[in-house]
Amino acid sequence: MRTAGTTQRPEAGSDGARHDFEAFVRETEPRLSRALAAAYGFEDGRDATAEALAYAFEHWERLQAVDNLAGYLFRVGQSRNRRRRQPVLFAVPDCGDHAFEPGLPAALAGLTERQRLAVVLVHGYGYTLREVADLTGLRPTTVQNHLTRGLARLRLTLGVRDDD
Amino acid sequence: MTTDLRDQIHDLMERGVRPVTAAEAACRADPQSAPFRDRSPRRRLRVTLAIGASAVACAVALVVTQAGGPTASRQPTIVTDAYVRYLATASGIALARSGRAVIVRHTQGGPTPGTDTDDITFSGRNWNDSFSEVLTAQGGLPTTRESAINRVVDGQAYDYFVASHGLAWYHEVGPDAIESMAIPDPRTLLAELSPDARFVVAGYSTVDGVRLEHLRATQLRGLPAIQLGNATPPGRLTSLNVWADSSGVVHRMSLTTTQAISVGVLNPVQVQKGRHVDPASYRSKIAAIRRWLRREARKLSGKGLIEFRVGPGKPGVTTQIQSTSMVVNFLDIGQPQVIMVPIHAYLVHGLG
Repeated sequence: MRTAGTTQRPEAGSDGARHDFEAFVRETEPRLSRALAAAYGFEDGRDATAEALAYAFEHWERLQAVDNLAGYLFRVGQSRNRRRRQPVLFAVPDCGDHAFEPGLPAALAGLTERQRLAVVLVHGYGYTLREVADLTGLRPTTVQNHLTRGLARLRLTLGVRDDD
Repeated sequence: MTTDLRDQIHDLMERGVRPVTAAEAACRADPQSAPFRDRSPRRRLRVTLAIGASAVACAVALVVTQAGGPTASRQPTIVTDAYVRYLATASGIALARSGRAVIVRHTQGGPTPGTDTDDITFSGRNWNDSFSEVLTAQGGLPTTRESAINRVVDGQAYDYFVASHGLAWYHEVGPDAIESMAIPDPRTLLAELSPDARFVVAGYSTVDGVRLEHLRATQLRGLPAIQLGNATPPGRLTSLNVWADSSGVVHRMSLTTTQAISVGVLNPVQVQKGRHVDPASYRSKIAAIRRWLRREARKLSGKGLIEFRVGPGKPGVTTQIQSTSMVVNFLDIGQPQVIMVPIHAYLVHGLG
C-alpha cells in the first residue's frame, strides 16, 4: 500500500479549527482525490474533490459529529458531480516514457464507476477492501466483486494475461 | 513499459491526479459562510475579510492568520507523487527570475571542519555571493576566517577581497572570470524534490509570519547528495527536509551528507629542512611527496577529493569520514533584486 496512516479527527470548536482543517485536508485529500478521480476522471474528479472540501470548510463545526468524514465527503463529491454527466476522461500528457499501456486510460474509462473505484484504489494504490468500503459506503464483499469483474474486464480489453 | 498492471494503473493515476489544497477549498467555499468561530473578534474579522478577498489573498490569509505549532500526533502519511511534482514546479516557477538564498554549511569530521555561509542574490543573469568561511583549528593549525564577495553584473565579473590593492573591488576580465567564481545556484537543490523521496508530513512551523509545512524524506536511495558550491565530493545523502508554504513554494531545505575523503599528510620537519637547504630541491622534494601521496590515495579510493595537510608524523594518506549539514533559506522569492556594478573596481587581467 502506498499510503499509510489513518485520519485522526481534529478538535471541534477550538481556536485552532482552521489549523485542524488544514491538517484534515492534508490527511484526507489524497484518498479523496484518488477516489473521485477514479470515479469521474482527472478533471471532474479534481473538481468534485475541491467541491467536497469546500463543503467541509463551510460546515466544519457541524461535521465534527460525523463518524466517517472522509466517506461523507466522498458522497458530497459524488452528489456535486452528478449534476453534470460528462464522459470519464483519464487524459495525461505524453511523456514519451511508455510507463503504461496506451489503451489503459480508455480501458479504465470503459469500466463501471464502482469497478473503476475498486480497481484503482485496491489494485493500483493497495488500499484494503475495508478501506475502500469505508470510503465508498459499499460492503467489502461488494468491493471485492467489483474488483474481480473490473480486473477481468480490464485485462480482456488490454489483452493482458491474468498473471499479476 | 511496466508490465505489472497495478504499477501501470498507479503511474497513470499519479500523473493525472492533481492535489487540492486547503487554501483552494477555502477559496471555493461560499464567501458568506463563517466556518470558524474564533474567540478573538479581531481574528474573525481578518478571516472574514480574507474570505471575501481575491483567491491569492485568500490563500495567504489562511497561512497568516494562524499561529504556528505542532500538529496533533498522527501516523505519517506519504504525500502523493503529484504533490511532490507540484512543489517542484511551483518552486521552480517562483524562483525562476529572482530571489535570495542564504546557505549555511557545517562540516565535521573531515580535514577541513568549519562553517561557511553564502548569502546569494540573483536577478536574471546577475548574481551576488557574499560568503564567509571559518575553518576550525585542527592539527596544529589555527582557526582561519575568510570572507569575500563575488558578483556578476551584465556578463562582467567582480570580486571584493584582499589582493594587490588591499581589500577592494577587482574587475576580473579573464576568459574564465565568471566560471572561476563558481557562484552556486541554490535552485539546483530543487532536484531533490522527487517522488522517489517518499516525503511525509512531519509538522508545521511559522517562519517570518508564513506558515510552512515540514516534509521529511523517508527514502533517500537514488537521490542526489547535492553540495552547493562546495568542493567536497557528493558522497551520500543521509537526511532531507523541506518546508513549503500553502502555495507549494519551498522556503527552506536542509540536507545532511557524508563523504569519504582521502587526506594526505606532509611532514613539516621535512618541509622545513628542504626550505633551508635548497629551494630547488625543496620544490622537487615536495612534488615527489605529492606524487607519492596521490599514488597512495589512488590505492585507497579511486575517486574522491584528496586534501593535503601539513601535520606531524610520517607522510601518508588516510581516509576520513566527513559529515556536512546544509540549511538553505529562500528569501525574497520572486522579488526584484538590484545588483549593481561596484562604483570603483581595479581592473585585473588573467586571474579568472
